[in-house]
Amino acid sequence: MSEVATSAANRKLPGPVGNFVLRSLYQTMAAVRLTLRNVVFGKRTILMVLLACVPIGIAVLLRNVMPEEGGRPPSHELFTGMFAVLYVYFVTILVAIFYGTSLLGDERNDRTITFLLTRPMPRELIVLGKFLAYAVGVVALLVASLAVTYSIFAGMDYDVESFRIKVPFLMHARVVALAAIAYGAVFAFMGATFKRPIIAAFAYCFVWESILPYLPVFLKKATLMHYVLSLVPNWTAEGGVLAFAAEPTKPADAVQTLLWVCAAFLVLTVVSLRTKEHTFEKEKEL
Amino acid sequence: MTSESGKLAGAGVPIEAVDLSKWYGEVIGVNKISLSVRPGVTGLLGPNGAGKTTLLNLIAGQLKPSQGQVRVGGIRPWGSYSVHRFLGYCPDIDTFYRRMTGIAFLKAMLRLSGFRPKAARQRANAALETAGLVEQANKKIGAYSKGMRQRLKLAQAIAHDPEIVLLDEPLSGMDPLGRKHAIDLIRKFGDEGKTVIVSSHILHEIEAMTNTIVVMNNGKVLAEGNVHDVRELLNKYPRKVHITCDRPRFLSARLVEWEDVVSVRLEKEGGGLLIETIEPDTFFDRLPEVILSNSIEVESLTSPDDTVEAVFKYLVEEKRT
Repeated sequence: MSEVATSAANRKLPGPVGNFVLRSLYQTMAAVRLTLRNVVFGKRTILMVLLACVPIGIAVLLRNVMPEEGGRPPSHELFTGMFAVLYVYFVTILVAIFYGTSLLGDERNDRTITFLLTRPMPRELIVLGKFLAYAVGVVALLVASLAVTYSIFAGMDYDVESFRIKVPFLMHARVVALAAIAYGAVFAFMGATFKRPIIAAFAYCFVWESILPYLPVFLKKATLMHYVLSLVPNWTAEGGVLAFAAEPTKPADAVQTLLWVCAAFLVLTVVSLRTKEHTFEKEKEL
Repeated sequence: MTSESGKLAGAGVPIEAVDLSKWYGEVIGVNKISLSVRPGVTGLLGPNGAGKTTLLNLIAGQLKPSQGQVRVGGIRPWGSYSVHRFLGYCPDIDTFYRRMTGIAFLKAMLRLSGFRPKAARQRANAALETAGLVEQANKKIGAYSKGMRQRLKLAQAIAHDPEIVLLDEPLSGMDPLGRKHAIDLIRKFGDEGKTVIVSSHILHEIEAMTNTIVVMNNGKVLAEGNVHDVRELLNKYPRKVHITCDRPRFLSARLVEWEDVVSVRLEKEGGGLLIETIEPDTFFDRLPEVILSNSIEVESLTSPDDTVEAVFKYLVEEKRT
């Protein structure tokens, strides 16, 4: 702090953007950048990339250890089974839990949230910017992983074209993207609201949603998994232990529901951010 | 009271609290505080746990008042984001996005405040210069010392040129040179007509920045006004001085002859003396001469009363009487 140059010098510098819409755009983009920098490109990402590589590793393993002559099931069947078990029930959920809860949960735990909440920025834009960063980062990671796994399975089939028709990539990518977005919004709310959001998120996914097959039909619709599985191509026809036994919701309705859930939980996240006091235990003890 | 640009306009009271209370369950953080803070530097003095941080958090809109109200530039800060256009807050938390560099952090904060990238860069550079962090601008925050982090917090609070600045223990962890410069900076803010509240639990730090103080303890305002009044109040009470030396009996015999010395108590062990004086300045002027001329070896010399806790003790007693 050599020569003290304060506001007199600052006043010569340009001020904030005057137009509300344009300023909101800049602020949202700033929140996106900050989140990408600190959450998506953070240390956790190494673990998440490894997690996203699990299905790829399994696909490589299957290709090498199951010779076609040995009665290997058709690759489209293998992919469909693996997609639901690994991508829907495992990778997408875990990635959404870790990133979703950390969007605001990390800011609260690390206490950096004070810097966010003392900006002249509507809370809606903080949530929107953070969630956009999450959506871009997570969907890119999951779809990239899916694309690699998909091409390994496609390569196992003699007739690649037939594989592509039976297993449309975009339909599967849509399932992963929508699941990541809907679950992400729920977990972002948990991150903004609960002290230990990871526990709440795990309880939701692996307790509440895992009892899905034993619930009466009307209660099954109270889970996100119902709508996600409704979008999985050929899933209900497959059957099996993990199968969704009740009648699936129409894909268009499932997409709509997932988007509504996402929007509703983002609104709840904003409400939580607005109404909760994000102070810290130390201060509460004075 | 605020113009469209977010700058404070008019001559109203920048910060006003009326019967402001905040409690956390059973614990009272701030208890029925009524306060008007005018432009210039106001020192918020109080021991740890006095409620200073709670009060600043209430003013910064980070806490919701349990009772009463606070207005900043005419706006109730809780739930209002627009108040932060003209308010800068340097919290007492030592936490950052540690993988970012200082300049990246400031730019991010300014962009979140609605500045264009170019303006954010210019202002970030200006704030770094003001805070004396230009050389560390491209260093990761994780590698900063505590003093540097304090300066960075200060920089983010002033980067958008706010009219009101709240500084919670801004000098803690700074080296003496950093402290001096921070004090100069804070005084300059006051001279420029900004409204600055700076909290500390060290009286002489506050004295170096301002004459206007608010003294808090147990969530209440004990006194507000001129820092010299507090000093005078201190002088009404005998000041305790503790000396450990090799010849305590000899020294005590000399000291009891002084008019300003009210009492001298010899400690049974350790060669300690506890002296009470009603004129500490005179006492400290004369003491070195006695020590040097009699070749007394002094191990330690402390003034237990020279702590802020002592000020509060006196103020509490004053209030009772």
